[in-house]
Amino acid sequence: MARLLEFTLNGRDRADAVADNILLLDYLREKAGLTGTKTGCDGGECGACTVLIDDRPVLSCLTLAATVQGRRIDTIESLGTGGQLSAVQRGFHEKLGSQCGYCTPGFIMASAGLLRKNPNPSEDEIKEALGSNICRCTGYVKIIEAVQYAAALNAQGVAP
Amino acid sequence: MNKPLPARNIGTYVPMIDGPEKVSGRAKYTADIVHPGQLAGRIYRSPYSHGEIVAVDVSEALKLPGVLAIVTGADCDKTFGVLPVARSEHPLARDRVRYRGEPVAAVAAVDDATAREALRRIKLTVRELPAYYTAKSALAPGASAASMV
Ligand code: FES
Ligand code: FES
Repeated sequence: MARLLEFTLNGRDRADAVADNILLLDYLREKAGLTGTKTGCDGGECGACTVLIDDRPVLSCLTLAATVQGRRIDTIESLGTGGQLSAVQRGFHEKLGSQCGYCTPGFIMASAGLLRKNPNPSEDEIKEALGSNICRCTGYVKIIEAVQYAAALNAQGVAP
Repeated sequence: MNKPLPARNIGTYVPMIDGPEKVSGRAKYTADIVHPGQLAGRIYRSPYSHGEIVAVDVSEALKLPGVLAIVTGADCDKTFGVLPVARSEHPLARDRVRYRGEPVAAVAAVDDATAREALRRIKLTVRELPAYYTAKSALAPGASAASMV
C-alpha cells in the first residue's frame, strides 16, 4: 500500500506518495535522488545511512519512510550554506577525518546531531555520539579531532 | 632522476583534493550512479561456514520473469585477488565455500525485488566440512585447512 507522506526534507516541505514498505534510506537515494546518504551494511551496523530526524541522528536503513510523517529530515545535502562547508564538514575535510569518504556523510550527520544538542562535547561524549558509525579507512583519532575542530568553529559562529 | 626532496609534509595536514565533494555528499560512488534501464544485481552468499559444493542449482531462479542472467563459480575460472593473501581467490566460490557469506552466485534482474526473489530460489547443496570459530581451534592439530593456497 502507498500513502501520502508529508514532511520537511532539508528545509523544504515535501509531499510524496510512498509505499508502506520502503525504507527511508531507499526513499532518499532513489525517490528523492539524494545519494549523499550511503548504504553501507543495509542492516543497522555501520552508520553510513545516518540522517537527522528532528535533529536526532537516526539510521535511515532501519526506518520506514512512512514513519516520518510531519517530521523534519536533514541529510548531508542540507549542510553548508552558499557553497561554504559547515563546521563539521570543514572539520572532516581539514582535519582529515575522511579518506574514501563512504562513511563520511553518516559520521558528519551524527556529529552535526551531537553539536546541535551539545555544542561543547567532551571527547567521551564525541565517542559515544559516534558509537554507531564505523570507518574502515581513517581510524577514529582524526575523526574525533575533526569533531573537536568543528565544535571550535561552531563557537566562532559557523553552523554545525 | 631528481634527487628526492626531504619530506616536508610529515606532521602537516594536507586536505584531500576531493575532500569537499566527499564531505558534502556530492561525490559519486558506483552505487550512486543511475543509468536509464539499468539492472539490479544481488549476490547469493553461502549460509555455510565450510563445505564442499555439490551443486548450485539456479534453474528455478532463472525461470523467474525479469531475471536476465545468473553466474556462478562455474563461470569464474580466473583468480582475481590483488592482495597477496587473496591471490588464489575466485570472485564466486568454486568447489568449496570457506566462510559464511562467501559469494556463490550473482543475479542480474530488472529490479531489486526480482533479484531478491531470485536469490530465494537458488539452491546450494554442500557436503559440510569442519568449521572453526576461534583461532585456537583452527590451529589445533588435525584441523583441516580452509584455504587452497
Ligand atoms: S546502512 Fe544503515 S547502518 Fe549500515
Ligand atoms: S573514510 Fe573510508 S570508510 Fe571511513
